[in-house]
Amino acid sequence: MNDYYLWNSRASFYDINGTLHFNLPKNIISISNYLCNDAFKFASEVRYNYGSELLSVNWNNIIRPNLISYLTLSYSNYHVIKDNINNAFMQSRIESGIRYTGLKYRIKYTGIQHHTIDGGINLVNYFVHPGERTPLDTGSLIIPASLKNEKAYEGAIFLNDEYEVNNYLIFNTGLRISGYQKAGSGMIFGFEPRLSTRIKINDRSSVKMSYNRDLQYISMISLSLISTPGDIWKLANSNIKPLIANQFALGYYRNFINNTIETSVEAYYKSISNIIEYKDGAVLEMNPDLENELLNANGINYGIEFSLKRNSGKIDGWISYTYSRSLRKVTDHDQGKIISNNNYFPSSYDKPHDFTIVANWHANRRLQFSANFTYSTGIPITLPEYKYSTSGEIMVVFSRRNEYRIPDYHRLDLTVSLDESLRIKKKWKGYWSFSLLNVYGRKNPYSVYYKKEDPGEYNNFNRFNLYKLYLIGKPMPILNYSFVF
Amino acid sequence: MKVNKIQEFFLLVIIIITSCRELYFPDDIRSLEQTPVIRGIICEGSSPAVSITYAMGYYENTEILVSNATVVITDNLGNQVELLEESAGSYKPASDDYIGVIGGVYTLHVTTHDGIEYESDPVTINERPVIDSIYARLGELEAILYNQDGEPYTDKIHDGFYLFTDLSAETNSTVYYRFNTSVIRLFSYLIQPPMAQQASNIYIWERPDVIDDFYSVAFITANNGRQILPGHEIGYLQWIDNPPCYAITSSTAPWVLILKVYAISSGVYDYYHSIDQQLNADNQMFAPVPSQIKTNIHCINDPARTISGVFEASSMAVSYKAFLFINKNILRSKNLETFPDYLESGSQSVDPPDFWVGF
Repeated sequence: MNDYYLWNSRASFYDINGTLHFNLPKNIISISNYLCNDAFKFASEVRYNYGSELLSVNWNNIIRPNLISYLTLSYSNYHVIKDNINNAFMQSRIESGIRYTGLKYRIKYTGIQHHTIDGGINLVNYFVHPGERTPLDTGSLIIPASLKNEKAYEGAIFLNDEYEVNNYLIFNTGLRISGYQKAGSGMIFGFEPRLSTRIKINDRSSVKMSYNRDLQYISMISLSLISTPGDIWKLANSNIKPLIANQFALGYYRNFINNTIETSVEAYYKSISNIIEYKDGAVLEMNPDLENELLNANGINYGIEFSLKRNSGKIDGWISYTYSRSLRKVTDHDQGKIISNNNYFPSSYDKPHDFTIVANWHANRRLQFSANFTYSTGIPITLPEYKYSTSGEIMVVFSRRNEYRIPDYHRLDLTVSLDESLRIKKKWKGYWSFSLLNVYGRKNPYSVYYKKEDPGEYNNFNRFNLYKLYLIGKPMPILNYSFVF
Repeated sequence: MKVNKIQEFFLLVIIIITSCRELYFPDDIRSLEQTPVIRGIICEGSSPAVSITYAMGYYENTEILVSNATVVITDNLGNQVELLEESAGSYKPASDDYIGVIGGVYTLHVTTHDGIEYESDPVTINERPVIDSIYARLGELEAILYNQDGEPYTDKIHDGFYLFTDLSAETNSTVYYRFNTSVIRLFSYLIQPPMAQQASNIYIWERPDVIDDFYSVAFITANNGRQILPGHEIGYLQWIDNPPCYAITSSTAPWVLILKVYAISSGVYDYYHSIDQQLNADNQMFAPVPSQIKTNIHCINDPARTISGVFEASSMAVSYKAFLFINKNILRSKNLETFPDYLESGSQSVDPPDFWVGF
């Protein structure tokens, strides 16, 4: 590849995790931690270094045979360092992060016949460090700047009852009441009821229905179409209301031929309020007036999923198809805040069609052939529709938000796998597999972006050109050997 | 099968190696609506000027000039002036009587031949900027050029100096600036017999060359009292090692820098800053948030209609400074009181022109 940017890019990472278990009489204590750090450098333009520290302590206490308590203390710290290194005199470092500390105490009581009662409290402390910019070295002319840290507290009590009326009917009802306060803002209360039921029609079929209402006091604002380390976290306050989602779901499940074939149809509808969108051309990074760039939006997500699964036999596998939509609507009518004429537009997660088929042929006890085909609609994207010249530069005018889509994604993978030995007592058991990914070499785009170049015949004499970035753009063989001992 | 982290890493390496990018020409891009690009300006002491075009479709290469539009500027004193079409798509007042004044608040009104009306936000001509200083710092310049396949590569390192300016303002409100920096190369040498009949000095000057971006803008945030904008980069002065072939004996080659700083309004700043964002948002692997260019003009008939351009009201301060490379690491400088606003390239012998700068 003759690609300056790719050859001058670097990536590295490490992950460390560990868990300690203490099995004591009537008590189980576990301590888990996870540390990770990733770094990558994109040519001589930008360098990212980001990582997480997670720690959790769990204490399960059997108070009585029908009364168990669960205590969880959790801590997570995510931090990002972004170095802008493309200009010697403007080199800067932006550090940001988010910290979460939580306590959850839950008691499960099964002392009443047909009831499982679950209740407890949950306390959370949020800390968001939105950004601090410093010059990267003494020669940099960058003026240090720091955005105000944000802190907030969330407390909640919850109670849930699973009532098994009989063998055919189960009700599950619950309520979570939360209170949230961000430093400098008033208290916000949230009611999150949930209700679900499972009706077993007979041994082969059942129906499930549910309703959930959820509140979320922290939102992610993405700087790009896909999640990157530079994404911004924003806590709810008097201007940015908590995200509220109401979801209804209905599912029908039926098995055939002695339960060897499972089928299901599930449908859902979710309405969401107070989603954060942003103005056209918004400046999100290190913006002390970030809220001025944000817009309040509503959204609806809905879909239906069909699934068929065969669990046994020479040939097994599954087929699923989902039709789903994820739409957003900005309701602000002020100048500069109108997005897509205040109509619904597809969110970045909107992929209406998603189809997967997985088939495995067990030729014998050691040899297996597998095929996996996936298809999904391309994700929405905003593309340039017009251009004009000004002072020797060509500027582009973008379409309405997410008005286009990148090409659909589809791919076929084939795998042959072979067990070395079926002997159970063998100390070393190996497993070979040979896969051919993307059999027909489709160049599925991962991202589409534009790039400024010198006009030429190769690019239709355009100053700005659209490029698609694709991964595994040709058939790729992989030989894998795994073992257990 | 659980894929462990090492396997993931090798998979990632393979994916990176097999990943690629290629030019993408979506065939479903629609460019059906006429999108006006309205650019208007009124400066302190100058008459206004407006140009109107329709943007090109993404796959087109011809801009359409918009004729027969009605263009009017009104101000906060109740005055209004109509701008007449001077040439296709270009509009100016019939006389130079109407000029911008500091404190004036101006609004642009445009009605195109199809009856669609556009209007700018009111924009104010603010106090002139104060240029405190212009200075240079030694630094290398790395350039990325493109080969015939359009692939970028790094150019050789240039030697030279980065140029900066400091500004200040006595105000309690946020102040926005736009910059325009140009340099003029002067060159003198002595020609002697037998190359000439008698010894004579030759003086040569080149046309001004703009060295910063037209969208170079900055602002000072209000903070009670005197505001200072330090170290705003205005361009790069490149060391040129090889004198022209006609330089037979001793020669000097000073550069004259002309810095014009415009005080603009926040809406105009947003327009230029969004251009900067768009031009610098290209070539990002993770498709960036689309950088739509902001405008302070809107359509009255259809507020959702896409429009580009800006109506700028500004006042301007100018500063002149001459630089002389002693060698590639040493630069001498001299403040100048004045210099011609615009020069065509030229030369003369014996005596230097009035604007000549000696070191």
